Amino acid sequence: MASLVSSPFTIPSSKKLSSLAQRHLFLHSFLPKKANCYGSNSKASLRVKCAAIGNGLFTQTTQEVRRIVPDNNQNLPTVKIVYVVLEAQYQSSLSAADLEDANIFIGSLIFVEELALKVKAAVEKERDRLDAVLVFPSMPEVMRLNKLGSFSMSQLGQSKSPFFQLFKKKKQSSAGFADSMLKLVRTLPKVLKYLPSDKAQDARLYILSLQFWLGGSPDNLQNFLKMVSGSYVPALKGTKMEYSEPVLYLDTGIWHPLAPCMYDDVKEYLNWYGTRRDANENLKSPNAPVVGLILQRSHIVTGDDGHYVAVIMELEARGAKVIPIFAGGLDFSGPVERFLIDPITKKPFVNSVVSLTGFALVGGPARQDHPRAIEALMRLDVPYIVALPLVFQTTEEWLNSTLGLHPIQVALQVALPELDGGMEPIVFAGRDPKTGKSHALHKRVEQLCTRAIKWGELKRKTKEEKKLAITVFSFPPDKGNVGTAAYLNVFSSIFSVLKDLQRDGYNVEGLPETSEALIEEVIHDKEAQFSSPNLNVAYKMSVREYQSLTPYATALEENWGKPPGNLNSDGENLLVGMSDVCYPDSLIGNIPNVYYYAANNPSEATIAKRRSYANTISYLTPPAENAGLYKGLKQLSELISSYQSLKDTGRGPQIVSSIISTAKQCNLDKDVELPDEGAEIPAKERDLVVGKVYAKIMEIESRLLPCGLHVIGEPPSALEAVATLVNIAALDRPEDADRDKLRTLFQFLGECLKLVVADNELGSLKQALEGKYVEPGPGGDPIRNPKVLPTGKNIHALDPQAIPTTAAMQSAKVVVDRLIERQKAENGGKYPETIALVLWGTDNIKTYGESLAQVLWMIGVMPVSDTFGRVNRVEPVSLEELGRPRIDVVVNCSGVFRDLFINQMNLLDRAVKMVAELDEPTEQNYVRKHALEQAQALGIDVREAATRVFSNASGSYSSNINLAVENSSWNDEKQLQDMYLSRKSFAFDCDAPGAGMTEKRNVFEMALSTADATFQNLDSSEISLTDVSHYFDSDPTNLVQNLRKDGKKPSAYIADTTTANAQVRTLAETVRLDARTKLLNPKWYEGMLSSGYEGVREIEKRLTNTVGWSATSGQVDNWVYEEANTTFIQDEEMLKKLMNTNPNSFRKLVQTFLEANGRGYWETSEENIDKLRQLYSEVEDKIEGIDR
Amino acid sequence: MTTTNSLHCSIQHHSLSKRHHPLDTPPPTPLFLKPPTTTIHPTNISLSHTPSNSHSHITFSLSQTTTTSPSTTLSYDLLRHHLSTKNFQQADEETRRLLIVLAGEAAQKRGYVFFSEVQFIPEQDLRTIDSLWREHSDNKFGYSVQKRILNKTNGDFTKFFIKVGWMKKLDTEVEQYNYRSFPTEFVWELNDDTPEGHLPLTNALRGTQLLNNVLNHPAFDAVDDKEEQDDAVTATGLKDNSSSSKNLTQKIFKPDYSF
Repeated sequence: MASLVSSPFTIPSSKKLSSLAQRHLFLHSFLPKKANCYGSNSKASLRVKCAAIGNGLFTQTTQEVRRIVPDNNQNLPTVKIVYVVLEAQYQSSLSAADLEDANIFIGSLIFVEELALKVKAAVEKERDRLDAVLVFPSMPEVMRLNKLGSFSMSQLGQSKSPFFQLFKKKKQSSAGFADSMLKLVRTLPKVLKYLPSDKAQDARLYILSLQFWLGGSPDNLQNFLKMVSGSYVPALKGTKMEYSEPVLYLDTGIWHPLAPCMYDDVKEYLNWYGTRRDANENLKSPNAPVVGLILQRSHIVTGDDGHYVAVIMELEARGAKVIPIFAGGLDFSGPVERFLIDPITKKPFVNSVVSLTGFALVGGPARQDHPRAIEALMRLDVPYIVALPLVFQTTEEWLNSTLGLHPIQVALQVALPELDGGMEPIVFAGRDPKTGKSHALHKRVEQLCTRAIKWGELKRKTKEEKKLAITVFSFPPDKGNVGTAAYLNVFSSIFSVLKDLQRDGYNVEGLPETSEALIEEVIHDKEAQFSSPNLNVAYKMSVREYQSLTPYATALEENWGKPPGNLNSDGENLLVGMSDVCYPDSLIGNIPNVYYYAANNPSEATIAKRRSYANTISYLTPPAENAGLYKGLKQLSELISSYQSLKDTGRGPQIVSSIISTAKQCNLDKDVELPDEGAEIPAKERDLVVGKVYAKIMEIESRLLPCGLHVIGEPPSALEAVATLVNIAALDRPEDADRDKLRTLFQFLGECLKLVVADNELGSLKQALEGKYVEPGPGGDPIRNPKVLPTGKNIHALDPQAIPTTAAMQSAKVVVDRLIERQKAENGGKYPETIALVLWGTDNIKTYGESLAQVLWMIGVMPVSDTFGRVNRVEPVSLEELGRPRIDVVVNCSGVFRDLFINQMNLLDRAVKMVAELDEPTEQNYVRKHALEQAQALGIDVREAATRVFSNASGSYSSNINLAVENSSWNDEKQLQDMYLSRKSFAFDCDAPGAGMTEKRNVFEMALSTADATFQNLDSSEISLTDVSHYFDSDPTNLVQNLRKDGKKPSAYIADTTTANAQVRTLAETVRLDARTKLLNPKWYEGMLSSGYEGVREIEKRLTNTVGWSATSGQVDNWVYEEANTTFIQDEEMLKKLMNTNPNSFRKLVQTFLEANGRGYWETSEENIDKLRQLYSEVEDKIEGIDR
Repeated sequence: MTTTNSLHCSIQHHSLSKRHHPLDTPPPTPLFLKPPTTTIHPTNISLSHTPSNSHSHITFSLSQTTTTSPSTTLSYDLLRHHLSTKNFQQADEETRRLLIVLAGEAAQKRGYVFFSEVQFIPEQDLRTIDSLWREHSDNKFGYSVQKRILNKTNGDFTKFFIKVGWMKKLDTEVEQYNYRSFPTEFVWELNDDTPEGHLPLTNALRGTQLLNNVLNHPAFDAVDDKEEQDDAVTATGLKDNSSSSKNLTQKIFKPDYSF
């Protein structure tokens, strides 16, 4: 930490204005926040120093820039003021040394617990010596530091005084704390009445201080410092410091830079607006779009409004009227309703609203009240955009940072506003390093304003006028893949949407009669190969035209190569697959983007929301049904029930023998220990064997799987709705027949039923297209969290600082304990020393951080939440309480997890390092044990060796093993493992959080080499091991085996928390279960095939993902491939159906079988292979159009 | 209720409310919002002013070199003085001050010009300012010079800012630019490698609409009409320009480059 440098400095009094102007109340009081200059007219001049300190949280702050080195030529008395306002990097770097010779400390808006504690620690040491300590709205820990003469807040929270009671009600609604501060200011006289008279003067000055502070203007701040210095700094005793009373401003109102005053009434404002001499015809036209702006009062009163003015100018220059409203507190819901809604007609005065505060509508950086915000926004019913100014970084720091936007700001100003239904987190303003003032980022302001106007126009335009482009996914670009979307029947959905829009009055021309005809129109001969001349090409665009339409064309070349390229191109032109009235560019530009997203995928939806500014509308995943039984498994079940009724009739042994042989046919021998066929089995053991087989059968039968694909706008059938209710009822509910409990349950299910059938997917789309507000809702598993329903909500994730929750911690303990027990049972009672595991974004959103909590429990720490329920700290659990050694971990975070939860990576890394440094015996603390070994081997210190939290490099996702497998573009497993190591070895370091992800492959490999087990979580029934390529992509099982010195294959486990009773299974068991319930299950594949074209692709995907598991873990049994071959290839009827419905996907299926065999994962007869080869050339010919 | 008037000293913006310091006062630290450039500062918003430093008692007459009389009492003498002494930084300050004064009383109170006020500025005044700049910079500086550059970038302000040297390239993997810091990173001299159109400065603190409206003011319509002719003019001056652009590329990595 840099030392303080100071020198006396005299300034003419008027200069204070500008120096103080930058210290304003809320967020935007930026970096310098360290010290202040103060002087008074020639009577006294105060010396001020500015500290320059390093190690800003997540930033590489250079405080040198803000250091004040004042001169004091006249040798006047000096006052040193140190202050910290909101900006994490300064709170984080404050130390007692900064305060050593300070007179006054000022703090405000310190709402992050970790930082609050740092500030508290630093100030506490000097508190008695300091002349005054003033802390304005902040966490109670820091508020208690307040002292002004005899006035102290150290009793805050304990005293019965009504004064303190005001601070105590932290649980009160919404932005309670800060608002109660404001209330306090207003109720000043009442409060003072209750104070003992000798204290009254100091308390009065405190409240005056607060008024000055909230008043925020340079004059107020100047008088504030005069008052406090004159009253409490000993060197100034005797000098009479004159100061004026605080000037109070409107708390809420309407502001415009040209207006002669602030308005309290929207009609008055609009009247003034109409008289503007500078406004042109466009702006005065009654047809001009109107954009509401939400501003922070502090930015206005302190004059740090350049970025606000920029937005207002940009909007007006583009012909939009503005109504800029502001509020001083943290609750904007009242002003929104009061100023933006016509009280008589209840209609909004505005067509769209942009919040420039970056905050959630209610609660700012403190405690949010999303329901209240949503209520107000639903009443307003216009598109709601929340743009943000940089707060914790200067413009250059932001541009230079590989992390991008500061993680704390992402949490506060991107994630939280999303919970209100806020869209388009555009960073529209930067920060000047020297002044800390906000400035417009001109390109971003342009983008924000044009988008706000476009959204607003949706409210004004007629349906016939509106043009709508629909884009579908096709990746990898191949005809078989056109229209991919998770669990969605894409073409039927498009058809359903178009039909509905047509009914609703939109101009939809040439819509075919059926969805099949629509597919045909779109892909034009879906059976033809991709590059065939039959492709449905609407337009051929020349490279030149493309370049003129795409200003960022050069930027794309880095990744995509020079245009036209070889995809969707005939070599000269770019082929555009949309009709010519559609926008030729699918990239988003200024176009409002409405994006249907599967309700159960909040993490990817969040990326779509932030990157493509999408209003994400959720759709229901198909209802999960029990997997049921088929073929041999069904026979087995029948045999078991006959055993139950006949076991005592003497037929028992015979039936058991049949059970055993059938179970073997069904390859259950790996899951259940079966006696040899024909061996004599004593009666007692017979029951046991049958019981075990029965349990396995039940497990398969009751496994939930989504059947078929969803069609937008089609609510579930009665049967499907019941299936969903059964699943909800089964979750987390012990079996008991208590009548009252059942009644409650059924009441709850009744509510759920309403939600399940209240389909709002088409409705929400239409709302969005009409420029209305779309109600937000959490993404997730509808079974776990009925709030996900009804679908058709603008999906959001969660407050990233809220996880893991206490409930998640509870569930995590159960899973970890089971995992450890299972590992011990299979390894001679030995504890695993290290577990390598994966953290997924979606998983942690849906389960509120269960897998995150699992890691904490493995290493034996507990999360500690702060006053606002945010998890920013961990504490170790004692070894006695833990009752086992601390298990070491290697945490592989998905790229999406890294993007959404960098704070939690920070927390985990701190936890691991803390545990590594605990003074405990190494046989009880494997983290420490390994870290010590690694530190020695690598010649680094223990903290650095204790690096366990890894992910991709910033901006990069996945190990790419999935791509290699999907494209069959890999030579051997070693190559895949190298990919994994090179892409996943980027560590997060809580000691240098600003550095972002840093490659630490040595430590990564060493840590992995100690792993006894690998582990992943399955969180929902819709997405299981072979449904997506992500799970095998991140599996390091074979890699660990290669890295381990003993070459031993680690155990591989999968936790299944999809059902009431969390299960820990081996990976092999889970792969088998997955194969039995999906790929090989007629109920599943017939369901898929009923969707036709897309269904074939789904089947092929499962097989490809199975090969992926063979490649990364070797945990796929031969019979899985064999049975798959029997089902899809040997069955002539099935084969024909697949080939005819989607030949491209069928070709890939055949190819994958051949590949599985070629790579040695599947041994089968020559005959089978010959048939596959023959089929391959047949389907090739078919695709090429030969012999049709 | 007024709120912001006295506050408007931004680092990149001219403030009318600030006072001058005596010359011996050291420049304020960067903490101040006001640029630490001292010497001459206008006292207030009055249309004529008395430079308040030691070499102050120069009185500037309203000698009009321009043909028509624009705003009756406005004097361009200080601007002319700064320009003729190649004191470009002061000239730049003075230009912004003039612009605010020209925009009217409200702008003066506010301390900056709102884009829609530009329409009220008489053509002749803007032309006068422009011609003074061009005259003292070999046609390198001035609004009309900037307008031509903006036209060449098809109105793309990012490209424009890079061209006139108001944005700098960052040393990042991806090509990125950031605004230059005022005043230290700007060029206050007329060198060969000073980018064309570098001065006078209208910053992007409040976006680009003000500059856009200044450059698209009818005063500079001639630039559009005479684009070709102007090109010819630049072509004659091209000796300097071409060598300067060469120099620019050569010298851009010079460590002491003053941008």
